[in-house]
Amino acid sequence: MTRKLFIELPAVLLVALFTYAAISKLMQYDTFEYQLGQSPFVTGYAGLLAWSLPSFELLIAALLVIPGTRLTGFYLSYAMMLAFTIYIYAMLHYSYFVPCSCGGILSQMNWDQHFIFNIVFTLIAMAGIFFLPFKKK
Amino acid sequence: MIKRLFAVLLLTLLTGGIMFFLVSNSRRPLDTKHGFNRTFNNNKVKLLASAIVPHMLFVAGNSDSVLYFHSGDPSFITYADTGLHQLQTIPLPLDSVKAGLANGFSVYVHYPDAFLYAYNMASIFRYNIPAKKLTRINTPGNYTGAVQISDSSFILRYFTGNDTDQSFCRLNLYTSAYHTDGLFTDTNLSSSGNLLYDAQNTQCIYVRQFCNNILLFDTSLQKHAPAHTIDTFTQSHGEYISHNKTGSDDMLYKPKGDRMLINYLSQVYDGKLYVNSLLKADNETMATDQRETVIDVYDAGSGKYLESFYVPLGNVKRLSSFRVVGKRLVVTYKDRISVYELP
Repeated sequence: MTRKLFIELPAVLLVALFTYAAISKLMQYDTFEYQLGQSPFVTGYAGLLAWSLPSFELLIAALLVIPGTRLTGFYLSYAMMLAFTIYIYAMLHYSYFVPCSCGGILSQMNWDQHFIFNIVFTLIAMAGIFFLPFKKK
Repeated sequence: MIKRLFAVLLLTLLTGGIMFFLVSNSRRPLDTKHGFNRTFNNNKVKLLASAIVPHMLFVAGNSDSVLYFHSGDPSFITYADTGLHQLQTIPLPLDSVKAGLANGFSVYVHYPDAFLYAYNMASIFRYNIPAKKLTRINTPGNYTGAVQISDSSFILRYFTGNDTDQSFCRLNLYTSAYHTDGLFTDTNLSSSGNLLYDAQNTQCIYVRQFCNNILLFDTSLQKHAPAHTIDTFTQSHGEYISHNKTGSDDMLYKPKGDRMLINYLSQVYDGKLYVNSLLKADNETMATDQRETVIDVYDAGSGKYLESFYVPLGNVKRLSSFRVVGKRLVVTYKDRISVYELP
């Protein structure tokens, strides 16, 4: 039981995170697009990212829910969380302007807390990849 | 397991590569040579005093011995001596109008009066501090900049009522009568800037934030010879789109695409114009690593460039506001106020 929970936990946490993040972005779509437009790194892609990012997050959540595609979901979760982590690191160290583009409760975190949060979820996604049982042939 | 390890490594490299591209691409405009140089004679300011503040403050005015600040909350102003020994507050009875301000306000203190510029309420609120008396002055429309030019007059940059058109007008504080001149009308919101009054040359200065144009005009709204900041950005690098807020008739204006903010903050004092530029000059080795920001000094009368100096940024990316007071430079940051001696 404990072992099963341990195996399922990364997927549950990531599904909760991506679903919540995607919905809060979509619910504040205008604000999200505006804040992306302020980001020096992605200002040129704000329009595209404003809808593709939450869509991609929902897709990952769906892949994680379906047992047959869970590994793909973990790979994409890892890439996504790693990208967010690098983005925040770059924002803190190389950006001339630091806007906030997160929605809901995540917007309450400061950038340092967000950075730690992302590292933790990157590790959770990585744990999901390596702890997911192999398919029996 | 090896396969998964290999996939993780590949994803790490791919993600890192994409993020590296985005970051390096975004810095290109800042690292590009812009075709101008700065002159530094004695480029360091000397810290005289500093105070940690619980919230971000902006310089609101000064007398010979007192500095005034306002915050994001219009219900009080903060003041301190020039040594920043003790910060105290003065309450402003503006609770009833707070909601209407929608964060679009600033405060200017010219003791004994504190003027609250309510940009989105087509009003200036005047509060006489010792008498505790509040009066409301109607402006011809919503506005984006205001500056006091005499005890009875202000110059405003206001919305004329025709979409995004903005123009300058001279407003009488007591009668609310105003005089305007259509020659100054701008239709583009990316013509945002800082409106200043140069008492020494009895002229107004409008420093645009997205291009190098400086408007100089007298208090009768007659244009003087044009001037410009030393950078080479002759065109506004900003573009705005308008958007209807859901369930409201209000218009929300949002920036579109890439923007390049050039002249961020400006101040005028004793015939000199001080402009906090965000652009790196070709002869500056300091990149944009944000340990210091530059202030360019111009002769306010002619617009002629004189020299530049640096102001420390500490752990923040930008100044919140600054003001030159005699030989001192008062700077507010996100979390503190500092007073420097000018070079």
